[in-house]
Amino acid sequence: MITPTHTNRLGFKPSIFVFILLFCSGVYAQKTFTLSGTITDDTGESLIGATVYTQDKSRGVISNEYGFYSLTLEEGSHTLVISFIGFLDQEKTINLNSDISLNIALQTEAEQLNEVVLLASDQENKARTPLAGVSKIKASDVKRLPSLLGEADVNRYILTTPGITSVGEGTSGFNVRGGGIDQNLIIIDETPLYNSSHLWGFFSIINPDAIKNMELYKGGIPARFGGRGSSVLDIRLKEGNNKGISGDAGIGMLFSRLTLSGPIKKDKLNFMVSARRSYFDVFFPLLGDEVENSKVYFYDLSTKLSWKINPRNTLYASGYFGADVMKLSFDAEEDLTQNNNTNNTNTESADEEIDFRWKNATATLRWNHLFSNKLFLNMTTGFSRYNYTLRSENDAGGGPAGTSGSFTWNSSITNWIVKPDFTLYVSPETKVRFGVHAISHEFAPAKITNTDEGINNTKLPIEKGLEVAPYATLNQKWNNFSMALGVRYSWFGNIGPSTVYYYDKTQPKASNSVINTKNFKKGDIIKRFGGVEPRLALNYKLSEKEDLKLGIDRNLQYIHLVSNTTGALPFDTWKPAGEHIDPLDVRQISMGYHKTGGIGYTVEAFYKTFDQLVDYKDGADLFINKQLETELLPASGFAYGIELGLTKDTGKLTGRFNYTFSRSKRKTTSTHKSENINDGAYYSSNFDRPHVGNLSVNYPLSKRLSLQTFFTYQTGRPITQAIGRFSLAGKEYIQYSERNAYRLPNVHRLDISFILKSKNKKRRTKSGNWTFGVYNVYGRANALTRFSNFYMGELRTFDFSPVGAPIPFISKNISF
Amino acid sequence: MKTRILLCCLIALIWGCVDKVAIKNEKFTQQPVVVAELNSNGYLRVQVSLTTNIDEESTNTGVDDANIRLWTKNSAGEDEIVTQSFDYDGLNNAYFPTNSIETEEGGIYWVELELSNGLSYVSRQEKMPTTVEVSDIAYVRSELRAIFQDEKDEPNYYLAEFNIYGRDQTYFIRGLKVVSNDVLIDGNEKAYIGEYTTISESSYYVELNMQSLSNSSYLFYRNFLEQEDLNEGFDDEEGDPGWLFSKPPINLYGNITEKESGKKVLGQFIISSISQKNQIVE
Repeated sequence: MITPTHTNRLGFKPSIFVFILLFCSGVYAQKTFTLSGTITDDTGESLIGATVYTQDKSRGVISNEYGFYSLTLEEGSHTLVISFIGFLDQEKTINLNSDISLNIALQTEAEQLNEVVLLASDQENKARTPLAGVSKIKASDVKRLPSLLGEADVNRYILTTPGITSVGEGTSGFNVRGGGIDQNLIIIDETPLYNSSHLWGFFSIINPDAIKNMELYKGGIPARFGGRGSSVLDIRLKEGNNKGISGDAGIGMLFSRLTLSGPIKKDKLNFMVSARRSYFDVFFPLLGDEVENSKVYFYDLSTKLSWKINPRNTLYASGYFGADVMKLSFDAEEDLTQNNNTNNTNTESADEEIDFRWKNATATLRWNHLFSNKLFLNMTTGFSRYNYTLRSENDAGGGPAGTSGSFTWNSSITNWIVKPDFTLYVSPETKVRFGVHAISHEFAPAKITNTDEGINNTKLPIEKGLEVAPYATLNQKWNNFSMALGVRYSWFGNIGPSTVYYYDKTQPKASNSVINTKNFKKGDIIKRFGGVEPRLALNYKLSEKEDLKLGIDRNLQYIHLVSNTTGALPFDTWKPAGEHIDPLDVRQISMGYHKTGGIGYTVEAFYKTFDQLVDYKDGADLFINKQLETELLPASGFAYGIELGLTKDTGKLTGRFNYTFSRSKRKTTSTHKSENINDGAYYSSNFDRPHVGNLSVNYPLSKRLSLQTFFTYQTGRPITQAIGRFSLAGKEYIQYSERNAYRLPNVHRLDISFILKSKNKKRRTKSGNWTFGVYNVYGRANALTRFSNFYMGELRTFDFSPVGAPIPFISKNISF
Repeated sequence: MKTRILLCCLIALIWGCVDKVAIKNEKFTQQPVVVAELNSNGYLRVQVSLTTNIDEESTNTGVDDANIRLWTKNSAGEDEIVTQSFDYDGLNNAYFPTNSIETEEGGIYWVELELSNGLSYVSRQEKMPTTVEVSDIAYVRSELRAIFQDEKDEPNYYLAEFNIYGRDQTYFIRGLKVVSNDVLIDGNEKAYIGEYTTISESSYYVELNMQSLSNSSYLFYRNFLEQEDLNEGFDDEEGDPGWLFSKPPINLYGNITEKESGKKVLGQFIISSISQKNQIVE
């Protein structure tokens, strides 16, 4: 039940929603029939966002995430145009005197095979949605962007879109409109991922060859998504070719990749499998004895099976498995053996090995069912697990202070998801989408097994949560005006067993200010939260190519990433909302003007507030801490900005430019004034970069050779810097500024790549290219961190740049 | 941690670089630094100084005119001054009580200071922790360990300070400090905390000062020692090249605040119970 508090606070009345739905569904009294089916490409891959319109463009619909469309029209003859970017339009005349099922396969335009940019043309205008702040990301765009070591990378591409920043090169995740990296819901085929990067943040975890479609929602997030405050990255894997075997492969400097798809039973059952493996460690012997026996590599595997059982039922089983492995071997230190003495313990030769690995795994089973040609169901059940293991043999470090000896540290996050999602196609103008999203969370922060008798086997309590969210969205069009009105009610319970500590409220929380503890049994609800999350998107069509858009949304997030390092680490802890930590509450209003066409431009502005953020105390001890709340502070914040975008899709010279001005500020709000950061004043978030400009340009130099360039300029990120000094007992110490009071130097970088297509163009079924270029052409050392120390009495300050030199690259890619 | 360092080195070897830079400092504001140490042996030392701009070379800014009071709670739960009589030792830039002090385990203590500029400061009330007795000192796989029994279920915090002397008196390592909580050793009868060090002697003498700390003193020491490590662990040639996986730099704030504004002050009222063990380690 929606509480009166929520209704009043948000100004949302559910009765309005019901009224509009009834009103809209009762508009058509004329005799109508429904045309429905699936739109695919010529390999059988379903097309998301293809349009089916009457020839006069007066009525039409867009295919959903599974290629399904449903169009209800008046009885009679209709000529329909089916179109999708990069495909030849198809016209079909139908005599509609009964409900008709019609599957449509669009043919790829020849140009597409030649990898030339196709225009977001008339079709795109028709496909425009009311949503503000949505970026559709094409795998082909990702591949065209010059990138580190020539490896096409989803995360890096996302960082080139307006409104997106990051702490810096080589750090994990991205920040959307002032939100933390934990505020992004990254889903692969509806199942969430918790760590989006390989190699600590240098590469994203998914092979672009496996991706069919990606949408990044920065605002106006549809009600069917939830659980994160700032964005949704919805990644859909390819279903695969159901006509014959096809694939993509590539050999690069860092890793090789292979994607294969094909029918197991033609037009019925097909598969897609995509794998990558790095061979970074192959070169270790060249780096000297220290690392020759070590291994550092990553791999990932994306798979999908699609089974068209009958015209009404389709089953999809998909999975993702990716891992980073860092196995480091150290030889015994020489100076230990220099004074070798058989009676002496300090001469013990101690080879060491640290095996550190982190893994993401998801499994999703989806069932598409047509109850009728107007009611579509997608039933998702999913499983997601992220875990890391640190195993140390012998006396290597790697653990917290005071540990040594052989030990293993395990930690994991597990989710189970159930999501029945219905779409009711009431009319071409009215669509209702509704369902329930249920997700169980299990966080196992640390389990340490140890062979040293002086160290205990230790297990921090597992924390559990259940999130259930019914939702509904009404999509309605009236001539030039369209609307998506959604509502989501999310409920979250923090569930036992658990021991909850209660603290003396007159003091800051600390382990010695505990006044009481309470043990909760298995299944007990320790604390529950809930709230209405309204989502409204409005669109007014000024002309065929121009829109005004408005988005208002509220997102509640019941889990927090707790990290205080420069870059997020694989072993950072997630913490569910509970007795001491409230859910994050993010509210956003955004509005924009969009013009599509050969030269398109967008202007979008947003204002966003963050309540109940979690920040950390200065010097917080976050590792293996069963009373983590003692290290955290409640915080609030705001972000605002304006995003300008310009695209040119016509002519030989194509490209895009975007500029974002934005600010992202936070303040801690502890009731104990002394523990507030910067005395409770607002400070810049770690990723507050007021000015960000990105320019990418593509130019064909010849029929076979094309040039791609990318240039970025960004304000340096905020840092805390040495400002003063003092001495104690003859030693020098540093006085630092207030948190994030200074900035690193501004960041800029130019990347260039060339794509040389293979000569053999006669066989259209096979194509290939060489990609080569230079990342960071002029070797700019863009600082990520700054630190100071006293060395021999002298104060010195250093900037560290993860990439400080030009990096040439070359890779070979083929498609067949 | 070695893991982090190696990974940073791997990244740095291939792509990264560390550049020494000059920084501009426009936001310096002078702040007082107050470090008061009280231990179970009745030792009390209070250092009061002022910070100087990072660009200045002199750091001799000891404050010699502070009024200091050490408070406790008496058996009736009332506030009581333990001492307010201090001598200033200019050589060490520190105040020492003129009379001897007796402390008791479980007793509550705090300090107050007034400077000549009219500002006054007060520490949080801290409880004198229980003394821990070290049963053995051992050197195992490059780690010098203080072995003791940890009290179960109570959050305990320790600081071990080792001084190592070779038998010929020419070799020594002084002030090797390690600080730890008891998360991984809670209730362990052979609990230890230790510090990695290379000792090139076959037999040596170890002096160990083992301190039980309050929670806030533990947090302060952790950050304090991290800053010391940073000073000692990095030169132009080696060390963690990026601090990429480390916490952002932090001020050494502790449990002392300005009385009127409630603002934190650099420094800490460190309270500890201390025990000593001296042992020859073979």
